[in-house]
Amino acid sequence: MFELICQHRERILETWLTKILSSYPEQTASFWSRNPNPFANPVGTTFKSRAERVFSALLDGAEPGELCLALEDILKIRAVQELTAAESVGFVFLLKDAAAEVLAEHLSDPGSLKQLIRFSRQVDLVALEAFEIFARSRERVFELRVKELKRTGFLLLKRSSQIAGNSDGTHSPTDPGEVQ
Amino acid sequence: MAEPRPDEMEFYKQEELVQIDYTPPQTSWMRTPVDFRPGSWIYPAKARHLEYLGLANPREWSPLDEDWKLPEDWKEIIFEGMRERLNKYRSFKLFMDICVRCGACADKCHFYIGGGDPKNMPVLRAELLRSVYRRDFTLAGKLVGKWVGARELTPEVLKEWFYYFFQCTECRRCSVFCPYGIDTAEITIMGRELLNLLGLNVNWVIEPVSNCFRTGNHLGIQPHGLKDTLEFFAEDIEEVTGIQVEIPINRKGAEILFVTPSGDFLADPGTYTCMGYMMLFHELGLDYTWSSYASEGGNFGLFTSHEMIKRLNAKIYAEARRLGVKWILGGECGHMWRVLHQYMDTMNGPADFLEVPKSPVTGTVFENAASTRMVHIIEFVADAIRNNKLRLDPSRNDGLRVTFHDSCNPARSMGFFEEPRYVIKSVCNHFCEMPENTIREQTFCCGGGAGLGTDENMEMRLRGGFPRGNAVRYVQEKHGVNRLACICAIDRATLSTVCDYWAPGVEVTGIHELVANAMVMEGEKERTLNLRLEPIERGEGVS
Ligand code: SF4
Ligand code: SF4
Repeated sequence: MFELICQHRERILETWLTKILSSYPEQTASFWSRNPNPFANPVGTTFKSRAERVFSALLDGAEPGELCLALEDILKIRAVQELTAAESVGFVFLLKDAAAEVLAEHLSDPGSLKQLIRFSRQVDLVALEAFEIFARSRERVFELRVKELKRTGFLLLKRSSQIAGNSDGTHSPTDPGEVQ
Repeated sequence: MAEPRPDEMEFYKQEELVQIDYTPPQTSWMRTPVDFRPGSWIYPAKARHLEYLGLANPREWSPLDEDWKLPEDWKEIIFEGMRERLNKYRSFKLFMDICVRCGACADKCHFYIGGGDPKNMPVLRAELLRSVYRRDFTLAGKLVGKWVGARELTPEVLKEWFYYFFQCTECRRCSVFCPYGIDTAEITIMGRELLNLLGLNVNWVIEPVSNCFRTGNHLGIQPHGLKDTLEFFAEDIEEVTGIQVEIPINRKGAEILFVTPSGDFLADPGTYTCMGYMMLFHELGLDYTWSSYASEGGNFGLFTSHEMIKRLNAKIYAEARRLGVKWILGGECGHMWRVLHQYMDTMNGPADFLEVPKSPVTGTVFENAASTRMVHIIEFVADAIRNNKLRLDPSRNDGLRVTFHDSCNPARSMGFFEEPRYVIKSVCNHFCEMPENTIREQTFCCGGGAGLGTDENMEMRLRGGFPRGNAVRYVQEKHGVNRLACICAIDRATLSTVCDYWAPGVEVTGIHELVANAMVMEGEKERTLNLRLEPIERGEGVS
């Protein structure tokens, strides 16, 4: 289905990864791409292995679940980094740019162009999925904030009369500025 | 020409797309003004707590305000503060001078590893302070300024200090890799101390400090509240074991004073570990007491200033003296032990009114605590197990596949590596380690220590907790690990969240929860529930 893209898969993948990393400061991109140890460099190695899985799933048609798991591993990281929502999900679109860039010289051939367009539309679908996962990850972050407050709040409620700060009525345990 | 359709290449305006620049501007780190991102900073301290503690510049303000309402002579205050500390602390002066910028520490900080902001590289975090030091305290800086990386102290620089010194958990991981032993945690401590001189501090640190000063613990629990809490635990213990444990509080003449972080009074899963202590002491027949005044082992003074460490820590010896105990036993906590190990003796010692701790159970004398006279419970229990003083049935923990997180302070500041592992292996049949470069000296921080464990900075905590969470997930997938044990109260709270996000399905436990579940108590009823009131799963073929 994507013969031309398959022929150039390694270069496209590499270009995509470089593009993903170039959304970070230069030193960071270099550290994340260099260090292959998954525990010393969990972000770089996760991006690499999961981007590869996403790309392979697109080309070889893997289970949709597998593609989502790989996407999720990347998005969970980006959802808690200092990125905007668009930046977090935007890395998916970079795959189109990578493919177009690597295949540039072939695009005068209408067959190849069509293949790239078809591929691009697949990438768009992946981006939609990525958006869903990103939204879920952000929800998770907020759920965890609430859960943390509840973990202590439950016992607080039971014993609220014994907590000093509470009895003078000046602050309540749910005030976000307070210590739990 | 007709407008292109979405299935035509032209529609996508490739050239324009390619031109979008995803790369942030690469300005020199010394010039970028700091951008306060939500999820990365902590609410400032409330004026009433600063007033209560007599700290500088109480006022309502927000880091998002343009004007931080600094005192008029703020610059002189900082310079004077630096001068004083450079004279007082040799380590500070040394750390300011000797960094050769070799970069060995650069990629070792969990905040940098997970988030990628270069100013979270330890070397650059230190440079925030060092650049000012260089300009105003060194000859080269005075003469050639920028050439040697010196810069002027401006409100923008202060904002940067606030932003980045509260993105350091003072975990010391970076120092393990520095060939000169530079401890960036100490630089952060100094940075925060200077910020405090201007009233720039965070509520999640200052409110506990103020509570602790007033009631003896971070949470503000008063004596009757403490009693009620422990009674509440005793009820659960009775439900599980059929045994009524005693609750000695402020009992004069007891042999041992027990002090533990108050976090374990209030939040699961720390509460189960607190129950574990009570059961252990009952079983060993320990002559001990809690104190309602020294009801906090933790010391958020460590995240404020040296003076505050001393003020809060003083109550432990004061109570030991008032109650007339022989020695002090301390619970599972992280930074509490850094304070006890490194500062207590010089700040509030000598504790010559106490005796060198000797276990009444085994007769072991804890020579290592000959000076502070305070023993860590994990050494105490390891010694009891080693001498066969506890009957243990590890099969009660067979439902658990346990791994151990070395908490930064007991690991890097005290060298507690073997005792916790020995205890866990004695009470659990299934234990495995996380990868080598994530444990022991090289352990990764939970991302929420040193006063960062609140919720408004959750994104920061989660990206900082990623290296740890990633290693947990690895053993979860590889070995079916479902429980992460640790000996730190902050960890018990923050790692629960880290695991929920990065390795859902793994729960956090204190070691004494595991001990108490495995401990066969004299006169207990048949144990069918663990301390979480869940049915006990026993492995096959083990009774
Ligand atoms: S002490 Fe820990 S948090 Fe602070 S800079 Fe070093 S590694 Fe990072
Ligand atoms: S490892 Fe030590 S000497 Fe090297 S850059 Fe870091 S702090 Fe400086």
